[in-house]
Amino acid sequence: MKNNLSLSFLGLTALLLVSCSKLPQTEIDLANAAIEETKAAGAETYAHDNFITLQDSMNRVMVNLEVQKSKLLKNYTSVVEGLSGVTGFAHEVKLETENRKAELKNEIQKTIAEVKTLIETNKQLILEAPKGKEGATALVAMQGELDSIEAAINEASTMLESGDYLATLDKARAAKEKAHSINTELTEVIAKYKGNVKNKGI
Amino acid sequence: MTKFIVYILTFFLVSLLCIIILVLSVEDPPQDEINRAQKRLVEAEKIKSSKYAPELFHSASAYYDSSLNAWRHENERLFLFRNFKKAKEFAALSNLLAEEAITVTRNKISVTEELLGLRISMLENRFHDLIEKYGNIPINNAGRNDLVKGKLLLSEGILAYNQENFLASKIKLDSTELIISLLDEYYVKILGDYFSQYPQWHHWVTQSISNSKRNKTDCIIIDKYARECMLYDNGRMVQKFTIELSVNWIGDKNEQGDKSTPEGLYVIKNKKSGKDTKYYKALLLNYPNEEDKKRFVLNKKKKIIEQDAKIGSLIEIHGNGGKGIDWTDGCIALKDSDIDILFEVCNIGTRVTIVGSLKPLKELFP
Repeated sequence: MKNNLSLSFLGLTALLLVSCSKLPQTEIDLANAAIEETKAAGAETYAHDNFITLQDSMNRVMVNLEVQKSKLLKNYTSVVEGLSGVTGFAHEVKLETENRKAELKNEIQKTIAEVKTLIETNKQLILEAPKGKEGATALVAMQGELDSIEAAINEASTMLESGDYLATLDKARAAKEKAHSINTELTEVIAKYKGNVKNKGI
Repeated sequence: MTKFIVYILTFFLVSLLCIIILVLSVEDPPQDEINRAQKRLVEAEKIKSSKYAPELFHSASAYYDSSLNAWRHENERLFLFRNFKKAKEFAALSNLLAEEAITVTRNKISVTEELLGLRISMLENRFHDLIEKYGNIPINNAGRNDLVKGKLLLSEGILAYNQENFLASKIKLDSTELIISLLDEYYVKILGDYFSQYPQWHHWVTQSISNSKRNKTDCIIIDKYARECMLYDNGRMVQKFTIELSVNWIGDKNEQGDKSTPEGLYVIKNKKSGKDTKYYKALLLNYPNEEDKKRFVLNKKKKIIEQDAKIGSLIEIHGNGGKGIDWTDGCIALKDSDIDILFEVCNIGTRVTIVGSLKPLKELFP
């Protein structure tokens, strides 16, 4: 009887000493996989701040995991909850990334379409512009500028396919700016020319 | 029985005491140190230290990982034998390096922002200067494309700068600078080649002015680069007019249709007005002269021009100028009021000397 009691007591003590709940490995793997997916979606670029927050959250959970592992009485409930939160947040960040990318893609496509329209309009304006010897020279130069803008827009279209949205948008915007300035220049010249013709009563 | 209970209680109390002593003697885990390091790393990451201070940031991250690994390793040991000294040291180092990365990044961002701002202004000025300085130098299609490409790149650089994407901005500005330098080189070469004929031009001009002085006659000197037409009387300049040329004005005339103005010693062959000319008034030159003809034959031999090329003719100093741009097919255009003066003063046989420039390249581009 005395021996049984002693054994039970020792067993209880040993149980207390090595007491541990199961390490939430599946949840850790799930959270890591979700973060990797988010990263692969481009969150580092398109949802920069939230991606850092996500990584920070995961690191905090891992620290909590080690804290629990350091304890005599391990309790991974808060770790599991944390991991579940990280996984959920990772999905949110991934969605945010996808939305931002879609938003940028739309903006780029819209800008490219606008530039293409401007190029076509400008080409038409070049045909309408006054064609004295002096005008022809300036128009040849403008045609050359339009060709360069067209090349830049083609480059932007290729970049869009590769998924480099931020740089592509800058390129498309710069091309739009230039195409717009040519448009203004041509419109002004034509208006001035038409005004002169009207004044001369032709 | 009482003895047994006392024995059990004593054993229990001693065990409990031992456990308490052991637990108290075990070192605290490095949680605080690691949390501090982590906070710094997040701060560093947010301001893009991984790009502005990559070495420091990556070292800080590596120390953070090492700290966590050391903690993990110690956790695998029996709690009585755990030692978190290394984990704490690594965490402290990580914190320190992350802090340094933050400082370096902030400084770099501040300096980069300022430098890029200055660089943008500088490149805008360089573009402006390039056009100001070489705007009237003919440029080929590739050069014109480069010019537009450079302007587009500069715009992209400015857009990136305004979005505080300084690294992307720098890349665009680097490319812009390269294009400006290449264009600059292109123009310097064009002008260098062209002005290699300066001694010849200088000789022609000196000779014409001396003749005018010696023979007490009028003569006309045309400076293509300066876009000036000067009227000399008895070796003394009496009038100066602004002229307009063709877009391809640089270089001597080689063949018909090259839209270039010839260079050399000519005379007025005919004075045209009214129905004789499509311009207001015109002074027809004796282009091609004997020198032009010899050079034309030589150029054909050297295959500089096509075998079926023609030498061209009808180079005139005429009116209808004052447009402010180069527009002729190789002639020299003056304002109608200016051609009136020349028409009045000059006769058939008046010498006309056409040169690239009266000044050497060094004087024009010190």
